[in-house]
Amino acid sequence: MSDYIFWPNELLRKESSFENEELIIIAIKLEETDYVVIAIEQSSILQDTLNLEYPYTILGNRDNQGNWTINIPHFTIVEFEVPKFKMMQFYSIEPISLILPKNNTVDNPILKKIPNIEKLISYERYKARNYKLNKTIDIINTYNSTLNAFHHSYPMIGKSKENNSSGIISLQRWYTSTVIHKLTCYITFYITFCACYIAYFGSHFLRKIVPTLLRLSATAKQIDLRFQQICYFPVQYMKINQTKPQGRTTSEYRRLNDESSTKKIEPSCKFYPDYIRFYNTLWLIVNDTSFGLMLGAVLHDNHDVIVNTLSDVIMTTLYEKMIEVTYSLANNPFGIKLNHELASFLSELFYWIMEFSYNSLIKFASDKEKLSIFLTFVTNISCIFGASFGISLIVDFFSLLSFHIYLFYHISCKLYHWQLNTLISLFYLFCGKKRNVLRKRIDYDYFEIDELLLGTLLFIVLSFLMPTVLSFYASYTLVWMTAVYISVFLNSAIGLINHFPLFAFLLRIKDPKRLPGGILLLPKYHKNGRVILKLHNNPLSVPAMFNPFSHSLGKIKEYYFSTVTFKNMLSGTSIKVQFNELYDILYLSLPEEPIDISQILSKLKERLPR
Amino acid sequence: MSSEEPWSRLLWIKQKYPDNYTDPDFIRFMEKMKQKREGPPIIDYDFDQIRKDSLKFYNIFLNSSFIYIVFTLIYYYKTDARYLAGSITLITMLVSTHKNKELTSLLNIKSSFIIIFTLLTLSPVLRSLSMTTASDSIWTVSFWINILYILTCATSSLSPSPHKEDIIKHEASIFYDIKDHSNNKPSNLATNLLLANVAMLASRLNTTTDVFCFLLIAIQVNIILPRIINISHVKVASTSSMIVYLFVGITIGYRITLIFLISSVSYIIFMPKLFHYWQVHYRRRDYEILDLWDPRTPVVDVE
Repeated sequence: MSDYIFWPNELLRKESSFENEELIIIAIKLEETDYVVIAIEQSSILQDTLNLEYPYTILGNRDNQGNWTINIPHFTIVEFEVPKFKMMQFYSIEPISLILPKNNTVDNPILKKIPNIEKLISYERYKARNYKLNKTIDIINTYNSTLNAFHHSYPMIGKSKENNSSGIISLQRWYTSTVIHKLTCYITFYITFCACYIAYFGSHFLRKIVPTLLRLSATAKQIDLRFQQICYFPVQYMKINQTKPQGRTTSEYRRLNDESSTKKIEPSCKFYPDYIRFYNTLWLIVNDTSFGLMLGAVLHDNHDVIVNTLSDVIMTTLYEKMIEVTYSLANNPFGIKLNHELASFLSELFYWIMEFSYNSLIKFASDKEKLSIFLTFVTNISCIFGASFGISLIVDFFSLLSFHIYLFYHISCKLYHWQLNTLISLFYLFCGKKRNVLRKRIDYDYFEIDELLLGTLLFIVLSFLMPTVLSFYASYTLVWMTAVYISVFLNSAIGLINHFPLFAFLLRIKDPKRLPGGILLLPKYHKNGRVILKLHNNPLSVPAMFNPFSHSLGKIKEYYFSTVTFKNMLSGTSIKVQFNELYDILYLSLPEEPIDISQILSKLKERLPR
Repeated sequence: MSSEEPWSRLLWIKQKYPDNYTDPDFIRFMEKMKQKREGPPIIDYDFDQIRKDSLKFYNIFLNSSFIYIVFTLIYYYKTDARYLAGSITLITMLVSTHKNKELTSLLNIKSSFIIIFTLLTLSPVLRSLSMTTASDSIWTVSFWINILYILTCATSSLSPSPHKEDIIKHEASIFYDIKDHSNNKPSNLATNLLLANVAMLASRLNTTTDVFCFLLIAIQVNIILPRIINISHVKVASTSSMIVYLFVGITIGYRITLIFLISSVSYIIFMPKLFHYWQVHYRRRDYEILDLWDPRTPVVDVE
């Protein structure tokens, strides 16, 4: 197996500057990495210290004719651009995760069905084989600090990059020592402290005390989400700041064989996704608020028009039209002659529900004064807290108003489902068959006359009543599905506002190297019959960035726009707005359980300037 | 191939024979078939049996027409259904006292109570059930259900090849031996089709009493009585024929009755002969091979 030698581009440039001189190559190689070239020096310099300590080795040399000799037999050279760590560029084998990786290893639902899949996955053979490459990529990512460490231990070789501290940095240093800074820090900390505690208890209240409200109301869900985000901010902040790029000491590299110290060489870019998530959330909140201001302005400007139209629309669609539909169902709709007794009974029942909901809800909702107050409230909320809150208030208002439609749908659905199932079993009886529970199939059986008589008469009665129930079910299902689709549309709008990968998207446009989606090794040119490879950064693709969102869209499609939904409708299985499923996307960038806020805050307190 | 177990023509049994194994029986059978085909046709069909089966078909048809007779009487001629039901019930009682012991096994008190109460409960519901449906569609549906009934009833009760002695025994008495369940039980589907037909027709009647009486009569005439008495018996068949022809003659007219009579007589006389002729001359003999060597469907558990 040939070794890979990773060769930074800047050393190539340096090499070309030393014409007709003898050079040696110094590379670093840890236990489980490939060679990474860190220096090319004139061989005269190295006369004094011929023995380099582990992990540094002399890889090869060049004579004054410009011919290279490499000390290892088989090798491939890979050129790479040193990532600018200060610019937050880095390489990564795995695509950077924009959502918080959850603990469950198996996500694929098909794989989940295989027994012992967890064990299989943890088996060595199925693990990713690019452990070595991963480690090498780590060294490449921290190339500058590695270089600094090398210069620190061998000051005579080459020159360390000068730490030119400019005036801004000295100003910053001066500022951090003043009282104003201290005061600002303390004030910020205590504001954060208060906000976090309020958010923590608010979220706790919603989750533990009124979980039903959280399940039913979009606004409650939105409030909970915001609380969770606020609780999670300090955690993210700590994660980002504890791993600021620092110069590594040589001792760290010396003790590399120790198990404990290898863990220390964790890539600093590990918490980089947290950085992206943190700023993405912040940006989204700001964005949400600006959208909210826009929405609020629009609502405010057209206040009277909206109130008038809405009042009319609520009155006609939710009350008058429903009455009309129910009336026509009771009186031979489209000339279809339904069973009069059953139809009039059902329509009486629905009238009754309608009157109840009219007296308790619709009368107030369509009242212009009250509607105006509500609209002002929505306007204010969306101006202060953001468009997502405004929209979720509208969603809740809508679901409250369409509750009687849900009741109609639910009642007719239950009736239809019950009748359909009874008809199917009675049809088996009609054919002289019976469901075999033990073998789960339909078997022939012999029935007595009384059983047959009862079954057949019931079958006849039910099949005569079926068209009536079916027509009620079909019309209310149509109305309910319209309501569901409106609700789903608004909910996906909230999801989009809350989870648009805005920051990542802008980052992708600005500097694709900051958003790695993998690496790419491409042949660059031939040199002495060798192919020289070049390490490229393969930026995260745009569809991959929208992966969680498209996943959620797929779920919506599966629930509301698929043949399964249609089959469910036919079989009379109840269809509901799956709030929890729709909101999954919102929580993707948050931990599943609320963070214990007091611990985090005490940690944060330790970092305050004294 | 030395094996103790004989080869059997079942794919789902693991056998010690190779896949392309041909049973010597099969070749012998094929040779026999070939000889048979070359020789003159052997008449081994039982003409009596064919005649009996087609008569049975005719009898079922006659029996089912009683439903329509009773319905016409109640619906069209406004006959008091209570007298009709009473007389039919009396006849059933008389017949059943004749075979009292066996009747208890067929219709115990519990199930007759269930029947009565079901009829009483569902009669008002049935009466108002098809109010909005047009009568013509009910007649059409009833017609098709009745045809289905006759077909299923006839095909399910066609005996494959009963022994001669059995036939003679059945001929001998009007009453069935009820313990002998082999022959006189129609399939569930046939009974259900009949009940559906009756219920549909009943939903057209005007009063609840009519509905109840009609259902009771139909069940007794078409379900209970055929299980007790042999409708193929000459006396029974001729009595029911007489009633039907008389009724048709009185209600529709003698010309149509005459056409009806001629067609049924010609059916009874010529149909068995025609069928027999077809069996002897045109029926494919390959069926005999297929009968023995057709692909059988294994019974496999769903799980």
